[in-house]
Amino acid sequence: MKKHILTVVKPGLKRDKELINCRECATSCQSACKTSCTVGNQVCKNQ
Amino acid sequence: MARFDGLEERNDCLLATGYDFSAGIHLFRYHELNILLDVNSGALHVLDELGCRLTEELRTWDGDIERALSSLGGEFDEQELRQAAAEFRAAHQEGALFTREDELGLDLSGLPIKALCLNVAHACNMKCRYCFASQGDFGLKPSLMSLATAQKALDFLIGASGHAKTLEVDFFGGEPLLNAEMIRELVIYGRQREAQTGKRFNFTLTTNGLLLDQDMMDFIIAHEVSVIMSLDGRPEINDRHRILTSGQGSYEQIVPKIRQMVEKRPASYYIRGTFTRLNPDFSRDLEHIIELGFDAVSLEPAVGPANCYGIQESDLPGVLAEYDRVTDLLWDYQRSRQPVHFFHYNLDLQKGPCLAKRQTGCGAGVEYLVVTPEGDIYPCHQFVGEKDFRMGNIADGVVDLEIKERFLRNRLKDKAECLACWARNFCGGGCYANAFHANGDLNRPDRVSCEMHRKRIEGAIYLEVQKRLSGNIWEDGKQEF
Repeated sequence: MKKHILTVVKPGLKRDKELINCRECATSCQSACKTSCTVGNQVCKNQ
Repeated sequence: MARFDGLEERNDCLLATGYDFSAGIHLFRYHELNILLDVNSGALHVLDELGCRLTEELRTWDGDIERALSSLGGEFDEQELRQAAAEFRAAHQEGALFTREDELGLDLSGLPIKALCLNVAHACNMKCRYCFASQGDFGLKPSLMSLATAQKALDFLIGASGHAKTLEVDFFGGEPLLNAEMIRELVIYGRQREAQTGKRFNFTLTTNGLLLDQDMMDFIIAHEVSVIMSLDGRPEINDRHRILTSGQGSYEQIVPKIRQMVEKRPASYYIRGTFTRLNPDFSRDLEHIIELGFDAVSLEPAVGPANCYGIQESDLPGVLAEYDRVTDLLWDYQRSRQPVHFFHYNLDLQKGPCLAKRQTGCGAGVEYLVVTPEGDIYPCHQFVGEKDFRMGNIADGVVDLEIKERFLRNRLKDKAECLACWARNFCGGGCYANAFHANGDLNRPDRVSCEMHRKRIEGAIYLEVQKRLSGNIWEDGKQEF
């Protein structure tokens, strides 16, 4: 039977607890934009 | 009334009482896809029409599954509805749907300073019309940062960085290459200090490109400096605002230099453009920059008070529609195997920042500070010159803790509007400077920026979902859909 809900990305935020808050990721908006911080565009170096 | 109680599972119930649908999920349609984001877990789902309608009815009936199913009885087959309910229940039990917020209980008081923006030049060799820095000097005395001040700033950063290994230093201005020699000396000094301390500096240079000569380009490559080069797009768009001191446009001079720099393959680069109210068709500028051969681009909206540049509320319908064209453009490039890194659409759904980072935002005023040529410290480059935000001076290295505290209290949980917004874990609460300049309050995000941000995040999510569906990469295994 066809599915009505297809999970494309599994939950990730909850699992992050064990790696949380090391603060090694880039800070501020200096990676490119300098006006609108977009923390979700950054990459975690611990994963 | 059948409802799912998180503590007591019952067969005919689905959702915990008091679940906040508007803050907990985001269901949106883009082209052929119905996409459902579970905000608190980060899970993404694609729904068929029935799944979409069931979600909407669950929202209408506040999680009462039986009422939701009953209301759909005239639209869909009973067995299909029960199947969908079972799938929703399974996703919920797996922690992928209708999940609740986690209270992290973060202690941010001990966060180290790990990034400095050095305004090495309060001066500029261009007269860009929309410049937020009053065309280079921030309305202050034109000046260049001395090597002594810059070295003090680096030492300050090292001293304040605690256990943080990777430290970020931006060369900014004005036009930083007006102080090129000092930058070279400071980078060399920084690399020496790395060897002494075990720290690692990531240097970034933001420049208009006019003073990029071969020597500086080679230095950038040799010392792994990341580079951000300004270009607004099409010649007529770029030259409308990004003008030389002679009044002429800069496009013809800077594009060859930017090309040469990119061809040398720097550690990383971005072409950074600005769009204003005067170029509402900014997707064409993105296209132009890509067709010049550049694959890492950031296009920022001009923000600010009502003038001829900053995007206003009345511009939003057009701007949001244009972001849809950006989404489609990026998908076209992806499908033709020419992927483009468009900064605001870089969403690594597997390797994005942790929940702590997402909930504490950009770090300005706490982890990130800016230093002026005179050594004055501000929370970020957009507060330079505002005396109420002056946090101290590098000479004594003491930072105003009251101002720091104002920025510390800027987490998502401190902002009522953000807590109600589905985009919060991607946005992180937005730009504090933008909020303050728009609303007089660090904790109240600028609504216009929020609308643009949400649209970009939707576009980025759509692209990620499409990539996964196209590559047959999804979490449920290969399923017909």
